[in-house]
Amino acid sequence: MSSQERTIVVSLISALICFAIYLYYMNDMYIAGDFSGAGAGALLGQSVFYLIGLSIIVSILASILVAIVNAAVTGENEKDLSDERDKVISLRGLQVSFIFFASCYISNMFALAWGQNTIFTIFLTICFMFASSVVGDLVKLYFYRRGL
Amino acid sequence: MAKAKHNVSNEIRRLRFNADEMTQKQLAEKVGITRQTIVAIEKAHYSPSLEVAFLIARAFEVPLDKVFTFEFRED
Repeated sequence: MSSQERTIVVSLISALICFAIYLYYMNDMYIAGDFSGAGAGALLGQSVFYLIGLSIIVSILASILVAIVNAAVTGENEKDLSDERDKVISLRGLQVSFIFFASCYISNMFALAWGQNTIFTIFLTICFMFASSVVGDLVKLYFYRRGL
Repeated sequence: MAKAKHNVSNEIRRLRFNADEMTQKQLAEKVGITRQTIVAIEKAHYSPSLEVAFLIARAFEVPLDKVFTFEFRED
């Protein structure tokens, strides 16, 4: 596995961990009835900032851990070199991720227009943000494995 | 309507062998790209930019058409 593929796998795993933790806490808050009051929007907004902080911490820790494990197993300290192919693959991943998020966002707006709960729609948008990041990573991994 | 198909094949593997069995890593270092990209180009999974194609030809000290071949056919 190349260093680029490893970076993508780390990003995927950390995104899934963060999202699982986020969903767990959001579920607890929903059961406690925190989202039925007037401050639900503010609470949801704050949760996004906690999520961003958590993602940064988890991805840094995961990167360090994988780098240490890789150096210990293979005995080599691989330089993080990237070239034109990496840029093309990264761009493709970004494209697919953007299209996925845009489609989800528009369908979300349709749901909102047809009377869906606003807080639930914002929550879904946050979920789609994460899902699009995962989809983008999977596309990049696919191109690294199967070729462009 | 006839459908045109094209394919870019290469002789990198043979050229490496003839160049004192140059490794993919050595070629990558000479060209300034990653070994994974050399692997992808060799397997025809990726068509490099013109600049990288010229750099690969330069690494073997041969003209570009000795490294890459463009095949075009209409079905």
